[in-house]
This record gives sequence, structure tokens and C-alpha cells, in this order.
Amino acid sequence: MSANPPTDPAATPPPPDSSGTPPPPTPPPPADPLSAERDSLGRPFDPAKFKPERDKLGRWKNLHAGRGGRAASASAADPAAANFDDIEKLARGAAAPAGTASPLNPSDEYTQAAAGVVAGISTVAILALGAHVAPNADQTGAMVRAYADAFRVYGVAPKAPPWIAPAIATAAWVGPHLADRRSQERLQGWRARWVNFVLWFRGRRDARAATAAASQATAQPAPAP
Amino acid sequence: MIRPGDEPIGVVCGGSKSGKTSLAIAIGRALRRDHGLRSLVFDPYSYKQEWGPWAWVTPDLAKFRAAVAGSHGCAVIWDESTLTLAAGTDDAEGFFTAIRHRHRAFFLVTHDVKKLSPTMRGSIDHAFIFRQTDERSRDWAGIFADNDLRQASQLNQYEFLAKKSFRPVVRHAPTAEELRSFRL
Repeated sequence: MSANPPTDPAATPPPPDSSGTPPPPTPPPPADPLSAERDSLGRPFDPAKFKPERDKLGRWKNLHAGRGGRAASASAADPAAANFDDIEKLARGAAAPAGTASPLNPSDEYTQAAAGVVAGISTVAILALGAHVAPNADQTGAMVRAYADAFRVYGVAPKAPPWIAPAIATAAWVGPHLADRRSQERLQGWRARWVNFVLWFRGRRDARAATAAASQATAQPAPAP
Repeated sequence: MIRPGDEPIGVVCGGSKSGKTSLAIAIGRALRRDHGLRSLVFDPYSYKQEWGPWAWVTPDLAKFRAAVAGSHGCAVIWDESTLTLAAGTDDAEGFFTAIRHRHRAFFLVTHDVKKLSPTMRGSIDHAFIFRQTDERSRDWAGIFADNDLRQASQLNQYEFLAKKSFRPVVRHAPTAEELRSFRL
């Protein structure tokens, strides 16, 4: 007969490491009483999303007022856009004086290359079509910017040798003279043959139409008196 | 609100790939967010970065100067000034010293503070200094009379020192997300 009264094994913790068996797992912390509750939409309470309050419709109130938390904090949000109509007007008034090909940053190699190309193209256009097509400073600046942007995108400037612009300009001046001298007669003869062919073709077509109309008119019976 | 007389005249200085332009963009954002300022930006390589809808950006120096001279109450940012600011000329010095009277903030982005004339350096009251050589660190320490700026030679990439006149040096190593919420 044992002198010790029976004890509830669950009520007395085992001595530490006395038996070599691992201690029983500690009971989980008491659950948040709100976690078992649901709002009017049936959503359980999530402290990462909701405040422990409900709105008048019985829904959990959003923790960040529906703005997504930290990313939507006031300091990181994008500031409002601004209107620059007045600045654009001021900038438009800053056109380069007439005769300057590039009002842009002269140290930019892309702009330098673009200015050379635009000068060459302008020369070609003036020689081919007349002085009235010469671009003014605004138009030149716009073309230079457009070419410079394209050169930047395609990385053209480092490949464009510096003699390309004078070469284009010289070719534009010399080329038409050479072409004019060498092919003037042949060009005129070729043109004449072509014009003659067109005139003959149109004449034949008109003649055939007239003949057909005449024969149709003679084939019809004379109207009864 | 930047009160008249408190307009920051600043320099963002550092070598290539140090993060100068990213910080300048963050400064423009902060000036818009905290002070409501529009930014006028000169950036020869504006096609490479997004300055935001609160900034008017041009690669055309003549237009930039005309916009700055004809407007007032903006934040002015001059990127890549190493090649485009002819320091020592009357024109450049006049621009640098007079801008405080027209606009609310001015920030110059440069590779080398020695490209600025002594008059320009004397106007600076804000500096954001990325990694520098030992010699340039000493120069910065001399400009602000603050030996703590000598640590600029030990900065890592994207790290910078923020210095305001008569205030202690603050060392920053922001992440991209932190840069978006950067404050002056």
C-alpha cells in the first residue's frame, strides 16, 4: 500500500530532464477573442488589415483607410502634376537667332552630327527647289533636335565621320551640274519619245471611240417620218 | 513653405553612376510634395530619365535660360552642368547669384565642385556629396568649414553626405523606395 496520495499527472509538471523524456508542448497562447468573430461580410478579423472596430454596416474598418498601407503613405505618394503652359510660352520665345544652325548644347556630339546633316539636306533642298525652301532658324532647330534624338536612339553619331556634311553639300551642288551636262540630250530624247507615245496612244483611243460612235450612228434605222 | 531669404542653393556632386541624377529627381519630387514647387529642369539626356509630371524638362539650354529668366517661384535644377555651365563667365555667375531672387530653390548637378567659380561656391548653402577623391573631400571641408565632410572619400556607391550650412553632416544610404520619400 502506497503512502502517497494519487495525484493528477497533468497537474504536476515533470521535473526537468529527470526522466530523459521531452517536456510536453506548451499550450498555445490564448486566441485573440476577435479572431473568432466575423463581420457582416463574413470576414474573420485580421489585425494586419483591419482595425478592431466596425463601421455602421457591421464591417471591419480598414487599417489604412483602403490605401494599401505603407506604399500609400503621404510621403511616398506622387505629388500632383503641374501645368507648364506659361513656361512653354517662354521657351518658344527663346528661338535661336537667324543663321545659327544649332541653338542646342554644342558639346553634344549627336547635336553636332545632326546640325551637319541638316545643313547638308537644306543645301540639297535649296539647290533642287530654290531659295524659297530654305528653312528658318525655328525649322532648322526643330530638324536638328529631331535628327539628334534619332541619332541618340540609334547611336549614329560615333559612326558619322565629320566630313559627311560637307560631302553631302558638295555632292548636292556638283551632282545636278554633272547630271545636266551628261544626259541632257538623252533625257530630252527619252522624254520626247515618251510624250509622243502618250500622244499617239491617246489619239488612237479617241479615234477608235469616234469611229465606234459613227458606225453605231449609221447602223441605226432612220426615224419614221 | 520656403520663405524669402531661405531659398536653398544647392549642389549635387559626384562621379558617374554615383546616383546624382536620381537624387536630383528625388529633390524635385520633395520640393513639389512639401513646398508645392514646380521644377524647371535642364537635362541634356532627358530622354533617359523620368523627372515626373511636376517638372518641365528641356535639353535646350537657350530655352532653359529663357524659362528661368521669365518665370519665378519655381525650383530650378541644372543637371550635367559640368559640360554646360561656363563657370567664371559673367553670364554664369549672374545666373547663379541672381536666381535666388526669382526662384525658390536651385540645385546644380556636377561632377566636380572645382568647376564652379569661387563666387558660385560661396553661394552654396546645401550640398549632397557622393564619393569624392581625398583632395575634393578636403575642398568640400574647406567650403563648409566642416571636417566631417572629409568622410566623403569613404562613401560607397549611392551613399552621400547631406550638408546644410551651419548644420551637422548627415550620411545617407537610401534605397530606391526611401529616395521616393526623401526630404530636404
